[in-house]
Amino acid sequence: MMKGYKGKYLKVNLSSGAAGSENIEEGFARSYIGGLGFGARTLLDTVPKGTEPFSLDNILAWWTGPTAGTLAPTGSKYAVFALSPLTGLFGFGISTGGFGNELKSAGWDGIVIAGRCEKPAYLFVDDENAQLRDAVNYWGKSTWETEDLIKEELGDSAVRVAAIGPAGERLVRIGNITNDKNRQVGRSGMGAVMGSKNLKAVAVRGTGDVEVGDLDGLTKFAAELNERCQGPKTEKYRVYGTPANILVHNRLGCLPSYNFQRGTFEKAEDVSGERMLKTHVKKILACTNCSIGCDHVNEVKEGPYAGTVASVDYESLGQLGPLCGVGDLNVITKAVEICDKLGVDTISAGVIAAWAMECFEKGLLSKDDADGLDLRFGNGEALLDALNRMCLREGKLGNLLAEGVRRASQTVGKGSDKFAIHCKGMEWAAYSMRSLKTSTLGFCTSIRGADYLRSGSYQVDVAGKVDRFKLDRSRGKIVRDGEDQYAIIDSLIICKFTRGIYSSMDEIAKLYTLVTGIEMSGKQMITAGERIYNAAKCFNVRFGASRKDDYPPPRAFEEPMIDDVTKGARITREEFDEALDGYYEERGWTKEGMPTKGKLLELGLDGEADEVGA
Amino acid sequence: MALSELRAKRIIVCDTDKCNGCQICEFVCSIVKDKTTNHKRSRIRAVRIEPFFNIAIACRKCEKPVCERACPRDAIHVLADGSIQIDKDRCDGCGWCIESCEFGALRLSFDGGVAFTCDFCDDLGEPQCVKYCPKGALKYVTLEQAATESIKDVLLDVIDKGGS
Amino acid sequence: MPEGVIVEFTGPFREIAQARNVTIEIEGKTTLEGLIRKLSEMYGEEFGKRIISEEGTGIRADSAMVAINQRVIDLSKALSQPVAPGDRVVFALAITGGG
Repeated sequence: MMKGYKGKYLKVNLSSGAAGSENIEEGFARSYIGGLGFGARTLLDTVPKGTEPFSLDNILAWWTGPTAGTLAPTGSKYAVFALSPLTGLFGFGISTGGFGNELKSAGWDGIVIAGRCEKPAYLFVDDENAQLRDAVNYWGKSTWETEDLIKEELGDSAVRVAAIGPAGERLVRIGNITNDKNRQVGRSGMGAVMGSKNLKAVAVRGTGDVEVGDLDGLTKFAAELNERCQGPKTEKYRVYGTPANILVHNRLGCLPSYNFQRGTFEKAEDVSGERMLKTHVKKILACTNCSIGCDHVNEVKEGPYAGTVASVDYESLGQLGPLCGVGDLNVITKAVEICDKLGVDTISAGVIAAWAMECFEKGLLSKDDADGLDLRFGNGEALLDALNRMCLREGKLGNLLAEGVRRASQTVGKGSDKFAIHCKGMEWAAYSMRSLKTSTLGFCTSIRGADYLRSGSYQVDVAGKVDRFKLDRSRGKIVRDGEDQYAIIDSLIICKFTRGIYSSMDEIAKLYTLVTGIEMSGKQMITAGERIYNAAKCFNVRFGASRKDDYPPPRAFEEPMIDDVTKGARITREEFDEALDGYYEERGWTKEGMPTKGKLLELGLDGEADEVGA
Repeated sequence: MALSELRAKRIIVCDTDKCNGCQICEFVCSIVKDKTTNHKRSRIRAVRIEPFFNIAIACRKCEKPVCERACPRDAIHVLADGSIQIDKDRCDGCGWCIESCEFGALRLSFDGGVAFTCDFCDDLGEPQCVKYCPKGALKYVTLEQAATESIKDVLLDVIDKGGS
Repeated sequence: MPEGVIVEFTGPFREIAQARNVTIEIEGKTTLEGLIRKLSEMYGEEFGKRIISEEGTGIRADSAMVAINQRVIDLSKALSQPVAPGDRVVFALAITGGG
């Protein structure tokens, strides 16, 4: 019997209603670890070239890692995978709360879902049993309401629910999945894929035991790790939360504002983490089995949005605040609430709204195009209205924005694509393009599109380890190493906020061995990480990705920054190309960014070597 | 209970300002008591009431325990320190005690279908959930100590805000 | 006439200093270590403890970030960084992910 893992997953066909159990072998687990690794393998094995994201043939895969259900700190995570309707490439997101723990306890490592329900339904996984239940009455309801109603229907408040909101139902391309109210599988439109399958939610009740390789050893190690989690390496998360970044980024000129036109925001103090802690944070919550506790939940006390409750972190704050020129925490908290309840990714939503604001100010969108809204930077009311429309596909504006910034800018044309800030169709997260250049390289090589969660490469820029204003060939190794390490973190799955408490990959390998009983060294883990990352990359190659998709938007190259602190900063094509060359070389890929046959065979990705190996 | 025992009675109290819903107490309990990981085996129960309220509750060592009175099988006994002991041979899992406890302090075991509740880790010297709570929200104290701490918290708050 | 180093505080440093910024007068140049020592004199042990590692040999890379004139200082080489009048020094918690 496998330890940590359950050694099986639930296979569901929504069209036929059939559900069954499929096995996972130890060799597979050893090669792909779990989470991201399992997801990459699933997508490669089940989603052929030519599949359309909203078609019947797209697969929706839910995977935990071996740590879920155990005392391994922050292990209660799960990840959802599909061909992304936003990027047309590898789509996935990771969420926490109590869902991952519950699914493992129910007896499953994951759920792989095919087909489509005829009518809105939700999947209820009740320990070893699975049933599709009618969700017609829940269709149209918010994520929060859906969770409450399903718990009521099932008569059990301990059930965990992961649901889509109206946005996912209406195939808004940035539609997300919410569980335990405040946690999301945020990016790349996984909620929209669920919506395309008429799947309103997945609910799970698990009452089973989860066995580990070495219970005493793991208990001791976890206790030690949780002690470290109370120390300085996590202070920022525990006290101020990630909004502590606002003032620092502002001071460094890397706080994106006004649709990435600038890197500073004149109202930074008003939306800082320091201010938010004083005036808005009502409570700091934790996910299941997390000893850090970083979830800062705001409550708006006065004004037109009094009573609004929303969990606000740096990205949501940055993209719905400074990026849109909004300097009011009441508006920002309300904006987050709208996105969370209607079910869209706050990062993408902010970037799309900011793009629309720039279009409006430049006269590329008329008042009529904007459904009568005065869609200027800083207009909080207009922002909230626009978000509502986007989530519900209402009006001209709503339907335009619901498509994501790449498609929206292609529709509008008139040069608006020059300031549609994305990579591979995924909207850029709150890290300046031109004043954090290693970060930008990592954003562009990320298999999911513009995000730093695949490599964390912004860290060397903001720790002063490198010159953040100048790229060179050596950055390729930094990004590659980050990607391989993070691939392991995303496969185990543990929280990136704990990465600082492990002294090395060897300690992380130790955690894996204690949980699973499978011997693994730090070096073997890194190789697994490399394998997993290459697997995800191969999926992208299958769907047409190559070097041309690994570039930042024109603004990064063509518009020097105007902020005092970063005046003149821009990326040159030469330096970016050199850094990208360096990255491909590190990876053992061709100059076109294609994994070679040799590299793929080396990693045991034989099928992929045949299919896409260069 | 004798007066001296009453004064010495300690229970697990939870500071709801500090409790953030992590449930680590539940995991630790399951591992310590049942040698496996399953928070539904926990004797201490973490409760979350949206959007802000979190608490973890275990047996309160009631003076006149409802569970003892409720049990139709005479399976429940109160020990000298106020904690509850359940006779596994007499208990038939009817669950009447579980229903009657307002604190949800009893549970039905998956092994053998008998009721169980917190024994305060009497064999280990201190409740392990209290030891491992990462935020120090749980304490194993007398009610007097708990009350004094509450008063102190309020006073410190007032002093902080400039009162005296 | 001694000119000042403009010191900005964010996060917990703001709590300790009870100020957003302060101008420290210095004669000529100093090092970051010298500046921190001066700030510790002004604000107490707590300030120094937050920044300087236990061994006293460097800056605590695990939790602090220091920028001089928008250049983030590599903490392993930080203490000897020159600081001159007119420089702007920011003390912050280490920047990490966004969530």
